[in-house]
Amino acid sequence: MTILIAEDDSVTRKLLESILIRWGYVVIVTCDGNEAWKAIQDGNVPDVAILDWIMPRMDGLELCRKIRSKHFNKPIYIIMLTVKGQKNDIIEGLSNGADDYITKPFDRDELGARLHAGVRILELQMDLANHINKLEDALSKVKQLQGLIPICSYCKKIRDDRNYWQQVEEYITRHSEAKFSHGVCPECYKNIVKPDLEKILAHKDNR
Amino acid sequence: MSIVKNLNAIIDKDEIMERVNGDIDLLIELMDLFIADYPKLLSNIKNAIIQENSGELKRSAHTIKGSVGNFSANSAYNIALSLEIMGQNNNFSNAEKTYIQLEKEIDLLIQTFDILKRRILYDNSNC
Repeated sequence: MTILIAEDDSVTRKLLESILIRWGYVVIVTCDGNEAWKAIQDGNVPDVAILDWIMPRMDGLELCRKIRSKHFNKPIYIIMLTVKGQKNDIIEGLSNGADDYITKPFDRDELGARLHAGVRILELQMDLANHINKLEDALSKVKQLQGLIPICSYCKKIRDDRNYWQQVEEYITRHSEAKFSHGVCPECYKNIVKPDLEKILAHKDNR
Repeated sequence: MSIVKNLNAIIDKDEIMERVNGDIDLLIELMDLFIADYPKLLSNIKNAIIQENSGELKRSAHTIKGSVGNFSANSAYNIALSLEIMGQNNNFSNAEKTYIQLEKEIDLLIQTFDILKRRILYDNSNC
């Protein structure tokens, strides 16, 4: 699990980095929004981004918006670092794509709990994305029979999109995963096959 | 120059130790980082006041506020917060006076770090 830190204050940056490394995360450390955005664009796409609110060059809110405006091959969980009592900042951050926030100076236990919640959400999102991929993959392989199918009332041939009349089994084979094994039902045996066989035998006897 | 008489009047040692999870080496590293960075942080604030650059005053005061907050240096934190609000409100009437207060408070904080470091080294040598 990779965490990107964007924080201009060296003390907070070092403290965060030390805690996260000790907890077993891979940490990408950047000093401002520009540097963080460059790192992401260079392919260091993190699972979690902890962004300070006020930074030189590019602030945390702008960075948050930039991250959300681009499509990455995995979800990024964004935690904004803010100060106590800045309710409007929190609302603005969450409205602009942040997933959570933590107040500075941060409490280590609270940081840990919020990170665990973030990781849990990321894992759920990844699971969901995997299931959707599998379903889409399965759907692409399934040919579907749907809509109004024109069929001849007498011979039961079906007219396809190109205006060709096809046998029912040929049409269904082309439009679904079904395959046919041919046999004779008892009624057809009685009405068609048996009389035919009797005719053949009678013809043979006459010869 | 003011002299630190009571370390706990400047910082909350217990809170700091909790923040670094008792990691003395990390605490010393954080103090050294602040000692290396604070002249630049103060100078950014001073320049912002001289140039009456409200955006820069807000940003640079915010940075030093975040930094001293990690050491639970409440007095320095509150002075930096005042400067940040002055920047936010584009009000420079008390900025210079408040900046001098911040300089004094940071000076006390640096002395406190020195005392704290010596205590840590003393404690470790007696272990």
